[in-house]
Amino acid sequence: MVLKSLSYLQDPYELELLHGCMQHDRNAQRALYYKYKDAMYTLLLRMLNDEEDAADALQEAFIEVFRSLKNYRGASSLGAWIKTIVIRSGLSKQKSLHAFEPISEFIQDNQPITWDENLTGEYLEKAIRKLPAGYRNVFLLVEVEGYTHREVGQIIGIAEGTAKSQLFQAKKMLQRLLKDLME
Amino acid sequence: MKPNNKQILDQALAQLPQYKAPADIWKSIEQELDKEKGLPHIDRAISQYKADRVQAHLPWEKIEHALENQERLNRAIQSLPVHKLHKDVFENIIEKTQKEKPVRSSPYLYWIAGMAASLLLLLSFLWQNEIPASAEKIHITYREEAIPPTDWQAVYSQLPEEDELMQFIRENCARLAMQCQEPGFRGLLEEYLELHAARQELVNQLQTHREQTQLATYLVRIEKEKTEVGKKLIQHLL
Repeated sequence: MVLKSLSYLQDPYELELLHGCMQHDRNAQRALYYKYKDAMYTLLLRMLNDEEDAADALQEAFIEVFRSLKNYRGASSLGAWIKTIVIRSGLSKQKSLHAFEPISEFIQDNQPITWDENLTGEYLEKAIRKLPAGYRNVFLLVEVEGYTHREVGQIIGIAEGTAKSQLFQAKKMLQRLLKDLME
Repeated sequence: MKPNNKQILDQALAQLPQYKAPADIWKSIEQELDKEKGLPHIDRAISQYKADRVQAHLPWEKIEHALENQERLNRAIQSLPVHKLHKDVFENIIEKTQKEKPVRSSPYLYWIAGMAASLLLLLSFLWQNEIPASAEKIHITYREEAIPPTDWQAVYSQLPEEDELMQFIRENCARLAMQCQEPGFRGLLEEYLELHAARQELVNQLQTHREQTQLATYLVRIEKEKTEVGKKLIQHLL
């Protein structure tokens, strides 16, 4: 009854899935998983840089999704809500793997960032994977996933200003990595 | 045309590859969910049990009837008439309360009160003897300030002459001394005099600051208030 009034749930198929999942209907759960799995796996693979870790985190995330669906209040779209859980799962995995390598390099250069005209997704992907986890998370969440600095700060647990400065550093580092890769 | 810096990044971001989640993840999720399989059945059974009970005791007709009933009551409450209090009710209350005799207290109460007072006296005597007197002496002083009563007759005789109503009051208060002594009348007169003074002040201000149109608005408001208070004063005297 409450779900019908959720403004973000106007897609009848998604609403039906949600109802089914709340009733613990296995087919609905499977359908919801198949709808989002690839997008969420891609995000996790970029965050964790390892297929096995990404698969583990995806599994954890979806189990959490099905357990917590009763708490979904429709304040955001279902996809966005699932993505938040997936990101948290990725962060938790990074923590457990001690993947947060200390950022030894802080680029003190205030020159504007210039991207090479021949930059492609393939090169960018390779460069992203080489970024330290902290920078990689901020770059992925802001530039690829479209979160604001504030939202990223809230998700990761850092100040908005820190998120901004880390994004700048991430871009600077990417620029350098791309230069090496594309030479 | 060359793409700008932002466009280059956006294009590259759009070209980022999508990966396929490994096929066996769902099996693991399913296995994990199977462990909790019993729980939904229990949840469903409990909710069903509750629903059955509610349905058995409250068929829809009954609910509908109750809702209609409540609606009818709400409508009736909203259309309840507003009654005015009769003037003599308050007088009756006063009369009755004055006629009522004071309740006689039980003799035991007097006895207990006497005992308590004696005990207090005894304790204070003991306390005074126990505690050595302090070198510091405390003096309690009090002062009464008498406010001389207002000579209302003098006030009435000195009311400004330029105001018609004040003239009326002055003339009538010379004859109807009783009405003019009532506190309600005095309060109104004080208010009237304050409004009169404020009006005078505003008139003076308007003469020097003609461009301040807001002053005229205040003057109109004061005039209105003054008229209202004036009406009440006349009602007292009639």
